[in-house]
Amino acid sequence: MGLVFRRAASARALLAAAALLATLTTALLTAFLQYAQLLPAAGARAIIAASPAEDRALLASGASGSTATEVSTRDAAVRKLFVEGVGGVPADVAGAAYASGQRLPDNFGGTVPDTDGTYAVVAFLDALPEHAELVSGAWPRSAPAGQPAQVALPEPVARTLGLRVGDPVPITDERVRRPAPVQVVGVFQPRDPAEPYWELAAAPVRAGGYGPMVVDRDEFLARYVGQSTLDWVVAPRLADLSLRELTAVHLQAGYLATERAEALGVDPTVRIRTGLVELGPELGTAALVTRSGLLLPVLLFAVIAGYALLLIARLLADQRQGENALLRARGAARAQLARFAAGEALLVVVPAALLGPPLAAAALARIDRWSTQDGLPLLSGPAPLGVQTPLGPLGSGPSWVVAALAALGCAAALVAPAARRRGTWVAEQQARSRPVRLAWAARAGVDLALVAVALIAAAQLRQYRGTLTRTAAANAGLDIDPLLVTAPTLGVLAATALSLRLLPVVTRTAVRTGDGASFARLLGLWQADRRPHAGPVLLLVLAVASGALAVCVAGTWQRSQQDQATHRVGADLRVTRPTANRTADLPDGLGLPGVTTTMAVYRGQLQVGGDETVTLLGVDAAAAGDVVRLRSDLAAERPPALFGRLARARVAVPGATLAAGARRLTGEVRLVGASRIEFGPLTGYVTDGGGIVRALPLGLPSGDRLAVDVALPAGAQRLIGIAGGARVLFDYLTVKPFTGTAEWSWTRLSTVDGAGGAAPVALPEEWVTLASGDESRGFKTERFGTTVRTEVTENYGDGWQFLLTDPGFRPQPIPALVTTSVLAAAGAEVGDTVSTDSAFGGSGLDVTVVGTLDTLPSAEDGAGIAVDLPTLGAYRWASRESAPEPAEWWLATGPDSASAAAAARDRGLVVADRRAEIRRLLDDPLGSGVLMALYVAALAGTVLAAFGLAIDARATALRRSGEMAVLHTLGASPGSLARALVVEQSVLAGLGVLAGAAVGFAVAALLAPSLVPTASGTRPVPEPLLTVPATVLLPAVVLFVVALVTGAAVARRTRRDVVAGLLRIGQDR
Amino acid sequence: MSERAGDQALTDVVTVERVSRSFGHGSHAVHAVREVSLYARRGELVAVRGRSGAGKTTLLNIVGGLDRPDTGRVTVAGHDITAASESELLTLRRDTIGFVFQSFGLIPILSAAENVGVPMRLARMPAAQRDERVSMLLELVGLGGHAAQRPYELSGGQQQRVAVARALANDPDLLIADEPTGQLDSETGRSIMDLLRALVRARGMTALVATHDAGLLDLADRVLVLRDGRLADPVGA
Repeated sequence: MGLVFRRAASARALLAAAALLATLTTALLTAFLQYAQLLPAAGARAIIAASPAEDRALLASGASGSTATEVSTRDAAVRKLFVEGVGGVPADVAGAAYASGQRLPDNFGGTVPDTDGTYAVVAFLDALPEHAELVSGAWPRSAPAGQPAQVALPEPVARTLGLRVGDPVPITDERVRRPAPVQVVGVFQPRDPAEPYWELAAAPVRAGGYGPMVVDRDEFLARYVGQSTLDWVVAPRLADLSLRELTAVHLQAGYLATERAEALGVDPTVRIRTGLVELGPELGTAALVTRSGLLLPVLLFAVIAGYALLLIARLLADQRQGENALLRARGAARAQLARFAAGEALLVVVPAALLGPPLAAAALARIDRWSTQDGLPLLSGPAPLGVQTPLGPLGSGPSWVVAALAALGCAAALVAPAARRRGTWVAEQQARSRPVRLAWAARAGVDLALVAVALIAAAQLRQYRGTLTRTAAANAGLDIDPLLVTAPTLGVLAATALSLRLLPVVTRTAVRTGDGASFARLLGLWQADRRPHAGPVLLLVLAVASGALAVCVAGTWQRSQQDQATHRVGADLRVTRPTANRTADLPDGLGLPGVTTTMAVYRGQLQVGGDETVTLLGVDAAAAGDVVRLRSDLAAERPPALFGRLARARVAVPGATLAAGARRLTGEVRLVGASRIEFGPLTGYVTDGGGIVRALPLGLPSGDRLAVDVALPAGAQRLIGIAGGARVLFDYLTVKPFTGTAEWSWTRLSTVDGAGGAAPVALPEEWVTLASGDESRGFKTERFGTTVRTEVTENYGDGWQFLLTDPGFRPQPIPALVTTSVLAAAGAEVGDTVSTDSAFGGSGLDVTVVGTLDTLPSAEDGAGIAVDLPTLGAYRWASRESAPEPAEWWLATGPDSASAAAAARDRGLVVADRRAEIRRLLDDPLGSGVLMALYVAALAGTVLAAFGLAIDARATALRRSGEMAVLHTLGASPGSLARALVVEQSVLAGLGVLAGAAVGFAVAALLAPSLVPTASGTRPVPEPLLTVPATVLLPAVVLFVVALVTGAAVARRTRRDVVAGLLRIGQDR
Repeated sequence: MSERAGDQALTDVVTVERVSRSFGHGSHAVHAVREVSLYARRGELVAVRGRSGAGKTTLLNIVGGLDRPDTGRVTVAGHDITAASESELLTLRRDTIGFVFQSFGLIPILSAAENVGVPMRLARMPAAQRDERVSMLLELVGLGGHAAQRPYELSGGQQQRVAVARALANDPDLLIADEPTGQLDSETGRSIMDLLRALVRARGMTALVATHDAGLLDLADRVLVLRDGRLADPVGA
């Protein structure tokens, strides 16, 4: 060992450099491992926090029983299930009870009547004051018998119903058919609307009621128990859990959701449902996706670090060439020399292995601190991570294993050149004079084999478009495919190896062209061309290529998040009316602040090609060009031109033209019929200002007349039909059939404008009655002027409907834009007519393809069909089907969409904000964590390469000191010798940087879009596009500048050495 | 001026007058050269003989402008090199003096022709002229067919011949060779000395050769013996 120390002392500069490199390598690889352990948990917490409340909790519901005792018993049984929490994790349990049959008057406040009436949700909620705060009034208490029950309302509901503290609410209890009024005593708002507790308020409202109108528990048990339901929300405390704990919660939740109620010891009516069952696998997949994403920067960095160490080892071997030759001449075997090298390597890697984990833990702790404060400019892309580092100062157990393995790898790199089989001393000296132009790998064809493997891996990666594949196991889950995940690194290595084959050609050409140049320049070119090994050039190529690839992957990921968010929303804002708890008819255009264009959208589903279910969007094609956001490469035309094809082919439904500015439709319907005729509600159909077919409830006849006075939609264009019906009441006494007539006669049918001016509406002559309830059942319906008459013959008790409209308007295939996948599924081309089926039964839609696009915005998997909504309405009208009712509005806003989003939420609308969605996706710790790792790998690779360049430049200058002295003796000035060094460094740096950039761009162009998965491991929609950020050339520029600066510094030092150390005769011995 | 002095002025390429050089200070000072005076004429091969440590190398360094004496004066081809600046010495070494080193001093990555051409490139000789002269010099030293070979592809003797050709690149007035046969066998060494002698005769240049090989002294026109820094027998000094 003494010899090892003495040898090490003679090469202390190079060994110190190797030690620094090994320590940095070990620390960074350890940090990557620790990061890969921490990041999935951080991401899981973010996923959980962003999940809807129902996905973070268990929701149980069941019948309440008839008495307060039954309520208490059933409640206690459910709560007993969760005494130990869920999966060992403490959980908060809250309960609620809801009374059924609490009917509000039709059109009360701002309610929209449903077909079977308008109902309020009267409920009690556990511990409401702990979760909400009063805006006005007080919390309800039990009221004396005979007094209205006291209720508190959520603020949006109070606003919708137009209620304030003190207002009565005239409720009828349908269960007992008696009035059960309540009085508003308080208005409240949630402290934290996102907490799962508020599922107790939201769930029944989603089912169609208005409320909740919250009463005191005792009040509920006294007045409302019986035919009521109980709900519970069980919210496990999921923050700060590890993945293992989250998995335990997910498994327990799945058991509870699937086990029979009897087995759980609860009432048989109790049902438990939870989104946690899906959350568990979702978190597992997200963790897998993250780990696969982190492998790329780890592998790239490991390659650069490994080669940098090999370079230093090679420099060390060159420096020791004479000494080793002497030892070999004295009988030293290759193994003995390798042992010396191994001894030196131990001196280098043991400190690295010991320092690695603590340095990594300290670095991660620093990043964690930065992430909670203002980040560095480099981190301004990805959002702060909030990666919590529970690691101690010495790191975790596995990090020591990684540090040891990394140190072993470093040692292997350092020993490899010394252990290499060498030729004779003469052969080695000859190799100094005429270095082999191709590396051994190239000579052996290893580089070509590497290229073959890399091409196969790249092809597979592009085919699978991701690094995760399904395992072959029975329950095929996703797993990381080793070939796919290494494909980018293999690509960099292979392309680098190929570029090294070109390097000698380029340098030789440079020498030939530079033959007439100054001696300094020619000497530099000679040195660049005839170096014994590629050394720093290879390091440069690897570092620049890896940096460019990492930055391109990061940029592609960021752009993809924006594209995904834009695709999901489809416009700047997309607001959706909830299916129930409808607010009053929204004003056309919604009236939201900051909105420039509003477009109503109908969403449905169709089946194409037999079993392919795709999204159907009915849009206002005239406005879509200004609203729909579609990436430019996803269609051959921009949205205005694309949707313009639909707008130009718009079909208008014929009908009675309404006066411009009409606000209301008025008139009177006289009904004539026997007592056994029960007349049903009348409905008018109009087309609104956008040409969309809208149904207008005209009212339910009472007696023999119906006064019609209904609001028209803005810009109403035409009255296109009137529907009605009646039924024969069954005679239970005589059980005789009925024969007679029923008539509807319209009089004074008019529109009224905003100034009160009336304009008559004449029913078009061509309108006839299209009736259901045919003659075979004894119904014959005809139109006579302004009267519709049905002759009933021998009918015991059936009903019939009629539609008064233009019979000549028949459905024709409507123009459509379809996605390429739909086109393929239908086996059609542009211009063809495709028949589709309804996804939920009923008739489908015949469309003529007028244009294609790669993905349909807002369609979940991107596949779909877009048609003009008015034309769709006309098609459905002509097919005698219900009009497509838009429940979405797509909005174009200015730069600020937040105010419009807030206003929409206040009105009870569900809002998707494109900009907010972009921020959410970019802020996702899993994705931004991988982004950070890519930037760190690029930075670290650049630092390592710069360090390696500096070491190589200095070592080369030292190795050439003898030659420099000879040339100075022969008359070369120190300045020209220094310039020769700079020329050499510049040429090598320039070639390395150019080749590295080319390699990086080539691999990125080929593979970067395939390296961007979603958190669920699926392919993003739309497909990612290669994005090359401006910072892509930063590693190249930095390394080129470092090479020049290093070369200049070494040249300056060489010049000084040459001047000081003129080769004197005798010193050459 | 005496006739001897006048003749000397016309034919002396090297004049060394009372040159001394010491290394170190005080009691540890090493007096490598003490009060040495000598001359070397045009067309003369002068051997400088002495044991190791006698001061041969130091003397040659001073004559070649690679070192400066503490005292005395040195003139080479009419240039007072003891008073010359660094750039003047650089020019002198490039244009007037040729060097042959014991370990050859060839640039490993350059071919024989490229090595020979280095001084010509430093002197900015036109390419055509340079190529012609390189071929001529390699032929002169008997290596016309080895122009493309690299130094470590040549034998020791061949490498030294290339070094000699390089030393002649710019047609110097003075050729300084320090132990040119030191790393060669006796037969090869003699052939190198024969070459030097032939070149001196043919080109009329002056050669100053340090050697401790007594067997080669008969090829010199004069032999100077150095002992402890002094010329022991100023024969021909």
